Amino acid sequence: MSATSMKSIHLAKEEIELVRTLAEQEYLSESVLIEKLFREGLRNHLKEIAITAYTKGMVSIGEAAEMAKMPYLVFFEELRCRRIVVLDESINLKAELSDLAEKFANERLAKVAENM
Amino acid sequence: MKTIQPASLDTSFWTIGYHAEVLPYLFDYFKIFVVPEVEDEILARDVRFPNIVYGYSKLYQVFKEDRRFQIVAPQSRLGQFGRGEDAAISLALEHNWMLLINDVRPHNYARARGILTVSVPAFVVLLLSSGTIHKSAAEAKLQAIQYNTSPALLDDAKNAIVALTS
Repeated sequence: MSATSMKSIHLAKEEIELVRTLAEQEYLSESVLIEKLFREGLRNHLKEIAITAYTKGMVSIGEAAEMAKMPYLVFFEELRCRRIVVLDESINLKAELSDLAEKFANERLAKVAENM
Repeated sequence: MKTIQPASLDTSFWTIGYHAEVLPYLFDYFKIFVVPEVEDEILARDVRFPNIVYGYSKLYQVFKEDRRFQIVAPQSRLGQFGRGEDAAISLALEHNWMLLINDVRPHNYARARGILTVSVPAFVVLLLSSGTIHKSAAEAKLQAIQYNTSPALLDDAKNAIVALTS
């Protein structure tokens, strides 16, 4: 991790109490717990922004993974588990099949592509 | 003798193709060229869980040890999309190779640039049309990717399967 610097935040009394309780339960200092929660929250926030950008068609999977600061495969697993469509009918399957038929001299496939 | 076509691989084909269980068939049709950026994406681990190895990575390693891939970097980059997609498209464009890709935006961009793209549903139909797999296997492969593929595209692929087998 790069060099750190201090940031102050204001918490409500109930939040301070909750942090104290959780820190005790997890055998962590309050500052370590707050750092941990902040990092998890930041990671999730970046991930949600990236997923929204992807589902809106603004970015590719690779770009979205970079936005989320996650490895491609980890980000892809998020898309897969959430059942997000990565390929739709705009790809022109007919054209792809026609190209494949020509490249592999596949007459059966050429006929099917022609009739699609 | 079957023709083998050179093709550049994008990570999106590897991941969806993994779930469709079509990856081992690729080598019967394509000589696969992999840009370093795509290889990095497929092999990268999650720093939070460094011992976890995804199936996508493990299968890639097995094929790599069997020398099934050629690692090649493009001369230049288009500057589009993520690092892997950019390099994979650039390589296909430079050599006029086919592009194995399964992510809609870079797919359609590559197609618009004149690159012959191959998606996983199209490859499944190719396998059936070549007599390499049965109809039931083709249907199962499409079913395996149904949640990440639009219903309209799946219908197109299923219609092609019906046309090939009726």
